[in-house]
Amino acid sequence: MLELHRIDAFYGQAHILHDIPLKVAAGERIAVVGRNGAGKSTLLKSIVNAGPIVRGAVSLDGRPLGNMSASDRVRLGVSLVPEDRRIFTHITVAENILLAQYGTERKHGLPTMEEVVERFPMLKDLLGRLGGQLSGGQQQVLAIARSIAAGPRLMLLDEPTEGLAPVIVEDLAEKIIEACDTYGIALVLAEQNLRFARRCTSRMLLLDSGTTVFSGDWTEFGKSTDLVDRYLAV
Amino acid sequence: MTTLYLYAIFNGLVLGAAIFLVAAGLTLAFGIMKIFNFAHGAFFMIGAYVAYAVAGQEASSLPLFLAAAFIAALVVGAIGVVTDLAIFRRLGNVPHEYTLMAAFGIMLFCTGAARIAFGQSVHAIYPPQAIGGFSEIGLPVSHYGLFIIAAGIVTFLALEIGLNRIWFGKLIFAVARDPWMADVVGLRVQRLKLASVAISFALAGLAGGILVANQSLSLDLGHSYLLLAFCAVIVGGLGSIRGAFIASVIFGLAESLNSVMLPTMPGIGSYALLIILVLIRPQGIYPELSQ
Ligand SMILES: Nc1ncnc2c1ncn2[C@@H]1O[C@H](COP(=O)(O)OP(=O)(O)OP(=O)(O)O)[C@@H](O)[C@H]1O
Ligand SMILES: [Mg+2]
Repeated sequence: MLELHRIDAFYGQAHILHDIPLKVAAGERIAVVGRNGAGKSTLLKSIVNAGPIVRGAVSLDGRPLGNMSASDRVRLGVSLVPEDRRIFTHITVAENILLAQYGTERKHGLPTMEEVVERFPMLKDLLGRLGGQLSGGQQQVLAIARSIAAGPRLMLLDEPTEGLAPVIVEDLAEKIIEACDTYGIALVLAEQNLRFARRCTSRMLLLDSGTTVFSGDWTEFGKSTDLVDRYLAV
Repeated sequence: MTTLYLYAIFNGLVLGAAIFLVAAGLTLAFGIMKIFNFAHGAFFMIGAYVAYAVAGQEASSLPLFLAAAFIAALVVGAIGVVTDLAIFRRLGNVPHEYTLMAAFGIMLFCTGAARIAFGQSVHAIYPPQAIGGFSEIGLPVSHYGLFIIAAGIVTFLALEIGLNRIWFGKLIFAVARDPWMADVVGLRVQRLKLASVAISFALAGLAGGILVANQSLSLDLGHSYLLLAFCAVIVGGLGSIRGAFIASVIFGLAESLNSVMLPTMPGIGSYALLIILVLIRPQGIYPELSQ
């Protein structure tokens, strides 16, 4: 479904990503791991064209997206949950969800508010609360719920475990897997928490200084013991 | 003596409503979208000229006077569309100062264009007969003044509902506060910005059409209100319609009472008040919710 043909990404003059290939099949779940500053967020933002300047083609269903805007990519079913969550503070939790659904310009086939709340019960009592009055963890859950509510085919999740309590992290992995399976969502997950990433995905891409140093399934990764020492240890 | 003060208060309310009519569009473009549209006064002036061109020196009826104001709103709103597409949109990704300079250029350009189109001469414009009279209720109350107050209140209610109650306003605020995320959730950011600029300009044109009477219509018309309107938007708390409304009324009253109490120092009251308000409430009367 998604294919990056060896893309390069830049912030101004700074060359951040070098020659990254990536293929994601429909419904497939892939992790992108790497140290701070390795380029994980830049990769996700490049896929939706929200920030970095990208050279090389990003294709969806075999069709190169060119310089199509992020908002038009949303309407093709690509949804990014950014690492800083970016909940709209001036509207309520329910309105944040409705706004994301509005952005898809789809009238049918989106999850209902009841479904969203059932999937994320934490939001149940918060629906009428302003986005600016949520805790960090609540914002994180809302950010994920908002993305799933937009009925994407491909979800790009940037470090969803950051700042969450360990029990919630366990639970969140289940939720993400369940939602992806139910709605047939493919996932690209940027993550530093290897346990969590392994739980949620079947394959992984290891980045270091903007280049791919490993790409394969988790068992292979587990066999190459030096990878963790070389690219992930502090 | 009391009559004098009552009269000053009435005039202050009229002036306050007039300031708000000009400030309304500024709240949207400058207060919310952070487009420092210095040319707002020039578009107000163009709106007044358009209304004059449609209805003449004295509109033959109230409906014609109102229609002329709405046509002024449409014409200036259309100019807003062109200005956004040609100028503001292109400056969306550079520092705000560039927009400020561009707006200054637009102001000079508009004044020049208006001089060519409408000439240098000063016109005296009268309200239509239906609202041209006075009622004597202890003091003479001008019907046109009441009309301006009513127009100010209607505009206030329309904007308050449009921006804070209905979906459109929530989209506008989403785009204004976090354009990046608005784009990432699929909002058509450029289109919403265009809509708010067009509405802002249309409000300037409407204000020109409504306030054109009982003034000498000249190319300088914009200057008289623009500064007070900017002050009202800032003191009201950038982007707050309610705040801008209250601040407009306060400035209107201050100007008017100033002219009665300190006739030798016109205008000093408003600016003293501006400084005091900014010092005691730098966040504005109704500050935006914290981000
Ligand atoms: N807006 C920006 N302008 C310039 N350089 C940037 C910008 N954002 C990120 N970078 C640089 O790009 C590189 C990759 O950053 P990126 O945010 O993609 O890393 P990351 O892998 O997501 O890290 P983290 O785990 O800390 O979130 C870093 O060297 C960073 O300094
Ligand atoms: Mg990151």
